[in-house]
Amino acid sequence: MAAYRVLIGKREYIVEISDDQLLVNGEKEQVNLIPLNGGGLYLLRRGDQSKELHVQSQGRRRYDVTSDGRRVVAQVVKDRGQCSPWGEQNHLGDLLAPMPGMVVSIKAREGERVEQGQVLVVLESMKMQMELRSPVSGLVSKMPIQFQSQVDKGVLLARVDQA
Amino acid sequence: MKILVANRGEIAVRVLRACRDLGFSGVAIYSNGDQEALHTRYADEAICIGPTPAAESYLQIPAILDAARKTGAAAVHPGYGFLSENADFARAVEDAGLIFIGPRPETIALTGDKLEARKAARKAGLPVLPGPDVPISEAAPYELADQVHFPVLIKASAGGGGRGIRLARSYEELERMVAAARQEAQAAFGNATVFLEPLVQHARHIEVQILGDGQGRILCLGERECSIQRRRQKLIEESPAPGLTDALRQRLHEAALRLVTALNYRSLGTVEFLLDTHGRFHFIEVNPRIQVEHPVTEMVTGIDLIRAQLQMAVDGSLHYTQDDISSRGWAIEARVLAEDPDQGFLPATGKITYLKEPGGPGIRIDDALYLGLPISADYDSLLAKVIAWGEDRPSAISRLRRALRELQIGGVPTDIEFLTQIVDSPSFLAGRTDTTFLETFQPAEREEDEILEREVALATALLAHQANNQAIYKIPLAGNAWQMTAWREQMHGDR
Repeated sequence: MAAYRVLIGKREYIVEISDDQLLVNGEKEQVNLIPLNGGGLYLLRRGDQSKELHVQSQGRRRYDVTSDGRRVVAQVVKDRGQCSPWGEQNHLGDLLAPMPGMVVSIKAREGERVEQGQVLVVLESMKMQMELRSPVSGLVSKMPIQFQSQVDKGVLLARVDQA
Repeated sequence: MKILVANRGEIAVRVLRACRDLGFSGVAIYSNGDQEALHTRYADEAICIGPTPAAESYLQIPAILDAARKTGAAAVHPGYGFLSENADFARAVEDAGLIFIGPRPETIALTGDKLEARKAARKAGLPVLPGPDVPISEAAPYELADQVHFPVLIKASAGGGGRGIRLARSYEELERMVAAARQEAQAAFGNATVFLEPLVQHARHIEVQILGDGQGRILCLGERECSIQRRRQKLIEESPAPGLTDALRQRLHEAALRLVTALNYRSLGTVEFLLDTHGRFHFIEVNPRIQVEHPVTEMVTGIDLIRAQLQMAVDGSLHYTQDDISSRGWAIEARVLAEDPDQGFLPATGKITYLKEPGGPGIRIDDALYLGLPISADYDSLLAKVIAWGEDRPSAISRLRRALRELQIGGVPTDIEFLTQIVDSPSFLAGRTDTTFLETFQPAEREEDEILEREVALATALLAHQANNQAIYKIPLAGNAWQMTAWREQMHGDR
């Protein structure tokens, strides 16, 4: 038997899978999960109800699921009791580029004290300027970017060591 | 007749469709990054005009004129954005002996200068917001500060699309916000001039669609309500505007007609107003081009605005009289954007991996999506426009809600769920909308959310379990179906 914790927003669901049954939070479920196109489209048949789910894996057992105009992001955690998802966690104070763009302004220096929510970097992308704010309060320990440089999505813009 | 469409994305496809309907040939232009784009396939000819960045392609006037020359196009349609409000472009097109499908270059120059447009509107007798009609070309707004009441808007004189606008709530904020607006205006429009305009609290944004022949004949095609905006970008638009008295609607239309008559306006245009809580309206600007939200007007009037615009440009005739124009029912448009709700609705990138478009009565989709389309940061984030028509506002809303639930886009985060939350909200249903609507909007938690979450938990746990076991037993890819089939059998066996 395998047990998975699925974290969705503030709630969590325990899904237990064994050869002969499937339990969600201890309740028995009857489901079919049928892949429809090999591209992330599934038919979830649960009792008498059929629902179309479009599932995109974002890696590290994180799934982005859309259905009926709604979107749910689920993080599956292996086995009960084990809290961290697969793979390593990012540094809490890391500010990553949310999308590719150009650094048009750098508002803090290495070694500077910053508050949570303070603007650290202004990125220009898709004709818009985005103010990117410090995720935590603390000291800026890294600022590995240059004014007017182009950055890719996910690139570290700044690291703030939590005080 | 051969028409070059100097744009990309859904609006290029939209204009090329009108060309097909009229039996005209269409020429598309594209950047290196848009080689496979849908608009190139809707055209009879497609010409590459340069590298992916818009500044090196879609904004390159000489390259576009070369493409027109090479293909023998007789007219140029600018779409919206890019060069559509660039008077130099319109002039260059006309100087090359081609028809510019839009207003005269001098009209575009005038409406492009918001201060000049305010003066023209005031002269034509329209109510204009008070304010010092003085450009702040140097960062020294102090001498003007005592002439305005806070909060005050700082707007780019060359602005458009909601960019180059800042709000200052106090004298202390003024300097910083003027600097920010100037910086954004310089980056976006190459012109840092800004001016001050009083903020109208809880205003509604209402705009009037007109079509002129440049010979003094002008048609009014009703109004649109575009109050639901985020970061000054329109998100949901409708026609007619809810809750207007016939008298007020009439006065809005007449005001718009007065201004465009004074300008001897040619082609399509929109006169934008703010409606305050006392039922007074104030002119803000003229948009001298087709607008993103034009389909709602088409749905209620039954008139293909772009076809009418093309016909007018080609033969100089309006093809309609004001008596031909009436509005029936209600139409609402929702803009589906590539945005990540988890990142504060920042524009998102990706690649379309799944697409299912809605259908059924009263639904129209305008987009340029296809499976495999990369969504890059090079162009704007509009993915699709979903437009619903109904006999009245409630039925249009029901259909829009249905369509947004049917629409499925995979591969890039979108604002679809947020749109459905707006459409479902009691204040939207009641038509109580103003431009601050989204500042205070709190989506209601839905009862079905827990059911869906439970289903998602089931599905993702099964997928993770499957992926896990594959990793352990190294079942080849072809084993996928077997694995899932086995699951099906097991679940059936459980019954």
